[in-house]
Amino acid sequence: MPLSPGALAAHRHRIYGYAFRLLRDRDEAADVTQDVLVRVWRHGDTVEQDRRNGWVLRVTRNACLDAIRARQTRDQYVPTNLDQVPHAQSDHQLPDALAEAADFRLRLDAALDQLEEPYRSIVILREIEEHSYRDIAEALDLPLNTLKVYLHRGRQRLRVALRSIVPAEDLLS
Amino acid sequence: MNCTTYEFRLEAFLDGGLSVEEASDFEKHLAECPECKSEVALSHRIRTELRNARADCPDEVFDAALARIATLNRDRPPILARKQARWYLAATAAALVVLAATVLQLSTPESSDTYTAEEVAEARQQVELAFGLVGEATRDAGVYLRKDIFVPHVFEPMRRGFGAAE
Repeated sequence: MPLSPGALAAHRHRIYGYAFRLLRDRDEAADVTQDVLVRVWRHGDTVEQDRRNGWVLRVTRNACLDAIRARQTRDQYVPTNLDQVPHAQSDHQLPDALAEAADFRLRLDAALDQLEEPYRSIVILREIEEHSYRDIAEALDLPLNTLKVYLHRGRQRLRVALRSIVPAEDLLS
Repeated sequence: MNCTTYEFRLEAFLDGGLSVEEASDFEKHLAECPECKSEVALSHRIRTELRNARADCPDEVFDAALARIATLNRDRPPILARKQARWYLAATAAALVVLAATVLQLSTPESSDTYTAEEVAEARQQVELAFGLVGEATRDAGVYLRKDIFVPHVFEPMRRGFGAAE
């Protein structure tokens, strides 16, 4: 029997949040979310309850990868180059701390976009969406230990990308 | 223990996965090592920024999905139509039984002089086939009644009722 609207509502944020972070486009994320919700409605009852979150994330990821492939076919996809990310303008009206925070966010977004799969998905699902290791391993079809190693590498790459723009003394203060 | 060792512990520290002793040991190291301390501070800041940027699904996106589902649901054959299809199958099988029984009747001793032994054997085969079809249709109908009627419309509401009463 198809899932009820109430059961679907429990998945809506995890689908959209993941899709938006992978696609970086609200319209595409909305389309993927609708498609995935329909699939979850149709087939969700065929998946065991305790494996459903991981399955939903897997369906979402596949839909996003399809959307990215379609986008690459449609127009030449140019990956973000960190060196080309403009620093936030340090407007005179903007206090330095705010400008630094805006700059940090911009560089973090770019660094995350630059991570290749599955590192990017792992960082998104763990650090942003706070999913359990079990659900992420299920979604990406990875052994738990491999997942932890990949998460370590993903986090490390983000730190390397951002270390240069945040002086160590600022972090220690 | 050097910083390389602590670098691997950093992940577990961030996830709250160190034992009390290990965490205490790690914190002592942080107090003495500005490099590791800044690494932890940067990790915390990255995590905070990422979590602040979480995107929730807008209501209109979810509503649009529900509207699509409602349309798909409307286009599905209604339960009664599906039920009728099952009964048509059962009725067809029953008709075959009647037909086969008629043929069998013709093979009784009174009329056996007008039918050959091959014809009688063929009629018996048809009867067996018809009984098989009726059995299959009945089993399907039983499964259907249990899955699509009794469980969702009788057992589940009763179970929920009992659950609410507790």
